Amino acid sequence: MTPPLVVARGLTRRYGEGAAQRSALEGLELELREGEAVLLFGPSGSGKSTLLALLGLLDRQYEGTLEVLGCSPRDATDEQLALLRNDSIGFVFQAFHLLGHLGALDNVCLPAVFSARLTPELARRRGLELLERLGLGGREGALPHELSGGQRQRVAVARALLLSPRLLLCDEPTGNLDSASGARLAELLAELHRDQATTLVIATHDERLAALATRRLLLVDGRLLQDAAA
Amino acid sequence: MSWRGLGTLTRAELRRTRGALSAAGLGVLLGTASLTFFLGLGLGVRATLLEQVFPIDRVELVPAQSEVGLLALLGGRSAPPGVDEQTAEELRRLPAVEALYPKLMLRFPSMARGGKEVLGQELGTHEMLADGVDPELVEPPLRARFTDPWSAEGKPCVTDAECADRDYCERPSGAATGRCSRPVPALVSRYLVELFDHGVAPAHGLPAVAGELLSHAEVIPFTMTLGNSLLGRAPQGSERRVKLQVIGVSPRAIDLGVTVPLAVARRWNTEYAGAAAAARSSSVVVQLRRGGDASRVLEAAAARGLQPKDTRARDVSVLTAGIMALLSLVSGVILLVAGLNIAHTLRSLVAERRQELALYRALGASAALVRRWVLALALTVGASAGAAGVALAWLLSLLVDWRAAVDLPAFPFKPASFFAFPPWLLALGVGFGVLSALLGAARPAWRASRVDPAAVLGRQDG
Ligand SMILES: Nc1ncnc2c1ncn2[C@@H]1O[C@H](COP(=O)(O)OP(=O)(O)OP(=O)(O)O)[C@@H](O)[C@H]1O
Ligand SMILES: [Mg+2]
Repeated sequence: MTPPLVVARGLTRRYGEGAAQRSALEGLELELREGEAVLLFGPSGSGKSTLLALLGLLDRQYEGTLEVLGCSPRDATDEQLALLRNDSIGFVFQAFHLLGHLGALDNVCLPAVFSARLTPELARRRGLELLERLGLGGREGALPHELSGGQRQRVAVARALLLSPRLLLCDEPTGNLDSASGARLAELLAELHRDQATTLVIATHDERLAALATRRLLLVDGRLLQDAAA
Repeated sequence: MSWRGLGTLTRAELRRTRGALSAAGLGVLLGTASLTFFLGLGLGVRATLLEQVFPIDRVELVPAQSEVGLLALLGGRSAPPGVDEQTAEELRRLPAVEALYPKLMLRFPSMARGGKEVLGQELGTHEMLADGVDPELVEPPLRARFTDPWSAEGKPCVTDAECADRDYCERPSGAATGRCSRPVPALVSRYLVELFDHGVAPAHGLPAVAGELLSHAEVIPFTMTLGNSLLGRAPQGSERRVKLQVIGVSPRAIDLGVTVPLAVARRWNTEYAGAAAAARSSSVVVQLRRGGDASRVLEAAAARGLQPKDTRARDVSVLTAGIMALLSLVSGVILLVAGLNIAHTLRSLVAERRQELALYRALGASAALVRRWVLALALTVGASAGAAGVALAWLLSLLVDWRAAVDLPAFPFKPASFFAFPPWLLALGVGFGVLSALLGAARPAWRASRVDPAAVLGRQDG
């Protein structure tokens, strides 16, 4: 069996100082394996985004132990973490976070700027392919404000997939989308998981995404209340 | 660390924000322009002063508290102040001393006349100052022509008429016959030439050609009357006339007067002022070794009752250095303001780009890359504004030199250019531009690298 992609033991994340201090995550025990599609449910403020930031190596301020892709964020250098994020982790955010002054293709190719793996030409070719596959063929020059919410989120997904990450982290990917676009994105993620065997972790309130899950986690007040196969 | 990524991002940002960044660079441009301009002016003026007016590559040491002037020439009774051979030898052995050359004033009265051949009119002085120097002290190619023309093989003579056209009969006091001799070569100072061309010649309606002639290796013949002047007669020897010719301009020449080969001065001094006057030199010129410690030499000289003859050079350096420091300070203030301006621009840039920077971090930029990105922007702005500032200073200097050539009257030592831009100055200009920009960028760069991607990207609003 391949080693797990993520191992967390007693993972705790606290915010604030002294009396104002409170835990956003508390004693989390978790293992994620290659090819899983994990849905992370929980009420607002339960710690979903906090967990994703830790899994995405954007946050190193934790207690307990954590290993992501064989790397312990606390012990790694910022440089190593950046390389790993670039190479092996994709992010999709609720707010899309596209750069408004860049066209769709340039947004998609952004991760290649930080990578030594893809030349700009190869990145463009791959970006065009991805846009085509996500139903945005011919829109590569469009600026984000010329695209609908659903289209923007698909551009963001293409950006996350550019360097073929082993771990795709989505934080409320359908949160800012109307129901039709949301449904379309849910389909798209399901397809990705099925065809590419990308490991997915999706924080969401959206039950439509439940269809693609192989596993469901329920977070409440920073604690893992439920961990079940779907 | 992806340098290619840094380059891509920096180029993109420069294109995107060129307006604000150029505005921020304007201060750096003005600062480096003024710094380079004023330093270039200072260096240029100083070079003219130190190389043409008061050369200081060598130190001339004279006996302390003595004015070797007209009165000393007339006194004649007590032995004139001087540097004896032993003192000279001690100084010559100091480690910092490369070479040491004696100088000997003519210690008896003399007069001079001449110039008819080249100026069309005879000029003269009833009181002539002259000294003799070691030909070794004179720079080539003049050195080759600066030799004592007297030779024991010369044709015997009693009057000049017996000698060839320009030659004269060198017949020492009391000798029954002399020997025909070529005119004695003489050197004059740049100071004297400038004084003549820009002062004496215009006042007398004469052509201002001395500098011109001498720069073309022409000679200016004149005669000197030895042993007599307006102020009196020499204590010994009889009045006679000798022929000389000015062969060139040298920084080794006496300011007001002429300089002849040391051997000639010795001979004539012995004839008119006695052997004692010829034995001691009136001063010595010390050639310092490259990097030699001049202060050691001056100490050793002071211990032997000698002091530097000319402190003007040092005064000039101190003065120009002071003025340059002052103007550099002004430029420094401009650069400081420019740095603050850049800091302000970059701070708002970083604040505006928080979300973007957070995204870069998530997509694989390290904190160091983000920091370097801000510094690279500043570096580009600083270097290009610095280079533009240096170029502006240079253009301004051309303009000033051109206006000066057109508008300012000819004055002594008027240089072709008032500026000097050695390569290090150009590098310094650009360097200060870069430095002020980088200093301004330091804090914004640090802030940019501290943007927390988890906190910024987690927000729900795009
Ligand atoms: N930077 C921060 N500083 C202080 N507290 C924070 C910070 N980030 C998160 N928290 C707190 O940690 C807890 C968990 O927040 P988190 O964003 O992980 O919740 P979430 O499950 O993603 O909620 P939502 O569904 O609203 O996105 C919340 O109480 C939140 O206030
Ligand atoms: Mg959240």
